[in-house]
Amino acid sequence: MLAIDSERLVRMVNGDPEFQSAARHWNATVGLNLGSGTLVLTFKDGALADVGPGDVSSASIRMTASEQDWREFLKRVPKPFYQGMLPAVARQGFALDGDLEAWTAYYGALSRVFTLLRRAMNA
Amino acid sequence: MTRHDNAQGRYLYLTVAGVEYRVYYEETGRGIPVLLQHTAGVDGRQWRHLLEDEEITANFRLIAYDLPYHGKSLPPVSEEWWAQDYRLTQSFLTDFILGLSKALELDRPVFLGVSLGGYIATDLALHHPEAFRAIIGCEASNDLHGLDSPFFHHPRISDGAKSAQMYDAMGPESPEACKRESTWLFAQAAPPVMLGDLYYVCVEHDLTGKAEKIRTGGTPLYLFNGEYDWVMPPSHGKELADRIKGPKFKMMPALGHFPMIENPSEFRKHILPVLDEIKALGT
Repeated sequence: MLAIDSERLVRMVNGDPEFQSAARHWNATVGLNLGSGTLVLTFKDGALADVGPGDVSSASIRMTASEQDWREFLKRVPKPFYQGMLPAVARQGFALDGDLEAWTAYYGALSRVFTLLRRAMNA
Repeated sequence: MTRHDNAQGRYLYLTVAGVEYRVYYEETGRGIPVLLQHTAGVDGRQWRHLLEDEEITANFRLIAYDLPYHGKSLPPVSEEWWAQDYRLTQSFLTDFILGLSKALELDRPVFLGVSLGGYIATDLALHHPEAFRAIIGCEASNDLHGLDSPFFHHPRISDGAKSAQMYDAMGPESPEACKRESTWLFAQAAPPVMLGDLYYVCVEHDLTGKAEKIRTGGTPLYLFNGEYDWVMPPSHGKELADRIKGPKFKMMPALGHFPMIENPSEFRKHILPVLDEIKALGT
């Protein structure tokens, strides 16, 4: 199972100027099916308010992939088409559903969360 | 002492399909002319690193232009363009490129294009090979149907979001500063331009049943796809190349969809040998 330090991630994300800019006015829940577990990220007024296991089905944006795929996605230098959400959805079979308009509008903010998560996991 | 780039920009007036456009272009170097076509939703600034490559400009005259509605090439003053949907067509793009070549009095230039430029490279190879001494298409494929998402021009989605998506089309190990410059350019296009450009790319361009008719005997065709280009994976470029008689295909390791700007020092390693080959042809 992917080991994610939720408290550290919240600190990193909310302290990141690029995330702060990209996430302005964002209110959403993003649910990640990680294969062997779940992770629900709650964004309130442009900040990451909470991260932890939860009910992905009620999240406004949902992404699903196997644990193996998420591990590849979170590598410092992933294999081709695991380098971002769009390529992973288009070419590696990651499932995406929910509010696609919000996902697109806040693509930069969510991408930044993954970049910081990648950085933390490969430190 | 003031340091200048070598490239110099100017405008010319070009009439395409009865409409006059004020077209901006930058050029540098001397020798064999090379027309540089930018990708969808951006402008000729994507080529700025190549324009400063003195190993290339010693023998090649590089010309990077902004298509109308892109960069410094404003919409035409004679048209009520604001009352129409912006839409790039293959016919316009072809006439524009051939017209620009004629206006600049170029003698069978080399054509080098990426993405949108790679698609039109293959369409030019099919329909107008005689106009060019060689054609280089990067990030090309048979077609790209279905990727013209309406979210590319949506009142609730910013141009910053669009550029964030473009970031993920580049290689993870390309220099961060270069990737950020690339996304900066995407954020600067007028809102309808990306989706309008994708009309040609995603609707019109389709080499099904046509690629086999491309003849490379008189005009060599080179095709390149970046390893991390999820839009146009190398497998798609190779599949296209396999259906054409005589092109040279190569996958560019570590690079993505915008090789000339995301990682110029790696891109030149692929382009330099091709330009040397073209120079050696001497035609």
